[in-house]
Amino acid sequence: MKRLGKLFMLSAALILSIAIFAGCTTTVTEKVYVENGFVYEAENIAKENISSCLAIEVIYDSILATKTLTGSGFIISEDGYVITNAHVIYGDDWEGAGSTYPQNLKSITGTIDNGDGTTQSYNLTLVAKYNPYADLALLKMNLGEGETVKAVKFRDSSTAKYGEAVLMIGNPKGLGISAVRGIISQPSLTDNSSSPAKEYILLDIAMNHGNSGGPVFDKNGFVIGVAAMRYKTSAASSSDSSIDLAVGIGYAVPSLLVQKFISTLNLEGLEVEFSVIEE
Amino acid sequence: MKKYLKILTAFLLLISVFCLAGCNPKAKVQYISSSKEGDAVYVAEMICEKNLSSTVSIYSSYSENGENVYGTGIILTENGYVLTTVYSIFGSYTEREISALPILSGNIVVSNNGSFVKVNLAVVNIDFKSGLAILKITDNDKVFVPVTLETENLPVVGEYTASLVNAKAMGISAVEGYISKLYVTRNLSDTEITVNNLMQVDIRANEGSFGGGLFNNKGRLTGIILDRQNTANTSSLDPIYNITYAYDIERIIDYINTGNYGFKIGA
Repeated sequence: MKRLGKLFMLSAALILSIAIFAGCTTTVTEKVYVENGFVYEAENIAKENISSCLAIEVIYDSILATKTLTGSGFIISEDGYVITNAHVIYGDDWEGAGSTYPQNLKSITGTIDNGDGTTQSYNLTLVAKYNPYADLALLKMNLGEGETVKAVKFRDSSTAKYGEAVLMIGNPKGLGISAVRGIISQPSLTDNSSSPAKEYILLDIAMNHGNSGGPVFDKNGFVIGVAAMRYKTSAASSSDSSIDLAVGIGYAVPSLLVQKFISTLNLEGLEVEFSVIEE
Repeated sequence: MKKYLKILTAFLLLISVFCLAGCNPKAKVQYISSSKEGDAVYVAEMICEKNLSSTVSIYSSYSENGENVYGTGIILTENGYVLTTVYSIFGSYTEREISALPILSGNIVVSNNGSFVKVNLAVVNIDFKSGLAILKITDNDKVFVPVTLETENLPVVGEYTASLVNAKAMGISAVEGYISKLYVTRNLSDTEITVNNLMQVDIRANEGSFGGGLFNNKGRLTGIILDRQNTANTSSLDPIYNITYAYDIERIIDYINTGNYGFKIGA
């Protein structure tokens, strides 16, 4: 009886404590940065666009060896056209590869992450590579009869600003589709270190091997660039520890060049239109 | 009686479980306007917009050996006094090695397409002990936009920060991160100078980033990038990411105002 009385008191105390706790913590204030009426939320941008992003695997097969390249890509039309980097398909010597179909190319596979732990793979066909001015290539998904896929929307990269928040979705290190947040470091950079000179958007972002070809979304979920490369130093492939390694500098091909690339192909019904948010 | 107490106790425990399940706190979202008035919170884009024209990419040219050094500076006054670091002017240095001053020039970005105006600079002060330096833009016909100093709040660990830097001499670029640690003592890279009370920030710093201003979410200056942990100084190829050191605003104000450089700040 005495024990039951103690248990009763304990229960009453527990209820009282919970009531006090609940009263004190019914609201948690979360700050959300609002810009021109739009809320930048990486989560929503990823949710909206993840099914338009592909992890790409390219396999070359010759008598001498089998070679696999990994990268990223994204869907630009409902009938399955996909943009990626030329170097994802051709390798690092993509500039000198001309427009010829790569020798010994066995297969290109694109895998979509369904967001529920499952994936769906498609065979892709190489349609075209851009000229040496931009590291871009166009692929086509082999879809079933009447099958459609979700395409991304684009924004004109010439409107990019310093410090703008971005979300990059890609396939770093071939580990599958993942999202990384960053900012635009420099909206317009001409890289004169290569010939011909190339235009890029500079990013402050964690870009790894395999992110190449992935879309870079702006705060409204529009593609503003295509992840292409990161700042490289020779130390990355050297044992010379005296060489300074650069960190976190990523390069993206501007969406304006994607538009130019697609317009040069004259493919019926395929064009890149820029979305505009009324401010 | 015993039976009723048992039932009552079980009933109370049941209520407790329901209370716990039901009191899931509701998140209240506080939307913060992008308005630049008052105490609005700035994101990187707004911080850049506010401070782009107050940031100088600095280039030093040495005629004696043809060496070029680059860094970043912050405009402190309308008549063009610029705060930077000794490293941004001399590169790797020791006090006794420096025999000549370089020819200094700078670029100030004026629009989002990266276009800039060129300016000439002269050395006003070099302080080897702190690693800080003051320059003056010598184009006297121009009026410049100084940064706004954060004099109300001291930096705290976990605070958001953004910077504009001339990393790798690629022109001004934006980076962001957080304040990682306060009160750090460190030997400045490539010198025998020990400095204390540094802030450690989780922000990308490369060659050329030194002298870049750190700005808080109100767009105000809270520090200046001075040094970093550098992979080149390690014995392995395991890269070091985002361990960057900076002086805070108190140290900056102290450096400027205890000297006699022709201007005062933060008054």
